[in-house]
Amino acid sequence: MTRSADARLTAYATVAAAGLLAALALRRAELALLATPFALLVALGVRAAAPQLHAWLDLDRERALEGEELDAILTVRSPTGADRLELGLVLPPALEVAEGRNPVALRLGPGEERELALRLRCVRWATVEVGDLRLRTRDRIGLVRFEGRIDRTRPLRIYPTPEHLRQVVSPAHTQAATGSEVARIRAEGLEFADTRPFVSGDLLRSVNWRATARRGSLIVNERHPERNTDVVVFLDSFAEARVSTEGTLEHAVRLAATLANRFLQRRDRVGLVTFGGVLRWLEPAGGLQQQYRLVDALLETGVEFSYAWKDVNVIPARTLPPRALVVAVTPLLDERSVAALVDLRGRGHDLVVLEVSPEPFVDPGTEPGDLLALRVWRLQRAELRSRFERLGVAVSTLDPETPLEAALEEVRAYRRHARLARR
Amino acid sequence: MLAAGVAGALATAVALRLSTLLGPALVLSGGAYGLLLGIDDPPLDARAAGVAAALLVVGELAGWARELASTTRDEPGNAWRRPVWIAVAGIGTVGLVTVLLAVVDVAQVEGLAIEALGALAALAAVVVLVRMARPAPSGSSAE
Repeated sequence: MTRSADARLTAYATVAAAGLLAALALRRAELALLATPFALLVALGVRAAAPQLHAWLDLDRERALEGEELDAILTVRSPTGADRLELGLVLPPALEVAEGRNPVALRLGPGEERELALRLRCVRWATVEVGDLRLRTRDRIGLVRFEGRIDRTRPLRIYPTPEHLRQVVSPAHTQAATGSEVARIRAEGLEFADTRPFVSGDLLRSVNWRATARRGSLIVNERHPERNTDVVVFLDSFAEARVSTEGTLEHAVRLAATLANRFLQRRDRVGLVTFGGVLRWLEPAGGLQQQYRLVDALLETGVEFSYAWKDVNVIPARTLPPRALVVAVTPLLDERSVAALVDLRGRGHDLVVLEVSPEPFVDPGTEPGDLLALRVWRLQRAELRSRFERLGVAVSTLDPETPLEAALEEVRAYRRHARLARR
Repeated sequence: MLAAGVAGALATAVALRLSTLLGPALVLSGGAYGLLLGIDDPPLDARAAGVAAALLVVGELAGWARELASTTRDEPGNAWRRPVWIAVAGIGTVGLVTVLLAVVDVAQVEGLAIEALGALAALAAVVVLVRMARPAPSGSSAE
């Protein structure tokens, strides 16, 4: 522990020295006597030894969702005792104290152990280390301070809270494995597609007896099979707009996690590309394990500043399988991401752009020039969106208040009409 | 002049939250008392006990005020310890200095023997202070 003198120790030592010197100079015993209690206190203060302290933090779990509360027990023990121990748990921005005192000052007798209950609220998604404890105590008369740090941190993963989604975007193409998406092809399935004349090899159970009775020849039902799809969530982490603790990246990660969970529930294979200063990727796969992998990868996402130009070629080919639906979650702030998305579309990928609007995080300013600049910036963004729409890419803009369901409905409507137009 | 200096130092310390000014303020206060002794030149001033206690209580109150200004709150039931300590320190100072004044009053006689006794007492006081100031042999740790 670091030992430091309180301001009073210096003051008392000064008074004691000045009193004794003045007593000698003025030949007055009273001044020496006046200095005596100060000299005694200084001697006692200098003699003080640092207390022995042990402290640690226990959390009731290692994973939590945004908005959930955790129980934490802060245990402190001192074999020597501590007169006034100030104990503070340093919390990362993603956590706050919901219940309990932090920091707290307490008194420990020799050998005493105390448990302090804290309730921590998970404010936002993150991977954090909890357990950085700061201690400050003093000697019995408070003239010497002892400060220390106990760094017995333990990891805590705070997962983003997924929104409830009834429906996601239907991909243009399906894969061969069974899933929840009604494929456009005709094969064995549940959804009725059409009828046709019986041919050799058709199953008897697929005969439509009513149509057969009307036509006078065997007619069979055709059905759409339920297939799975490949979905790649493309998360743009080149740039973000931010105001204090909230920014577009937080929102984007929440959206990406929601989409990934919902697609995985449909038994689709989901992959992830985090396209930014650091490129991260996960090849498409399904199941619960992939869900954890995806969320863990999303938690690692941060905006790493980079000047390097990156395009789609840096993404491993297996991460972007053919006929996969690419859902881009982006604030459309960086040219490199825009170019990569245009390139993906040019290569024939089925692309959807969910624009996480940076506008709520922009200070419009008050000067006429600021307002003009804002208008120009908005026009540029509108032109960018229309550029994607001209390429046949649905773009939906979300701000933190817009539910994802509404944005996806906009995408679905665009794709429905685009399909009609193609026909 | 000294009183104005003390008041100025304390006011600056309070306004700027400069705890380093506490020492000069206390020294100036003691200096004012020393000046008073020089002017009045009493045989043995019994007010020294009160002055010492007052200076100590001012110092302790300043420390307590800084503690209260911090964001850390004491557990319920512990807040009374500091005022009690200040009161005990003030009363103890009065008692100690009064006893020492009585000893000085008794010992104010001339002679070689009493001078030698005084020198021995001063030496003993220094030895006691040095022994007290030596840190206790226990270890320190935080883990």
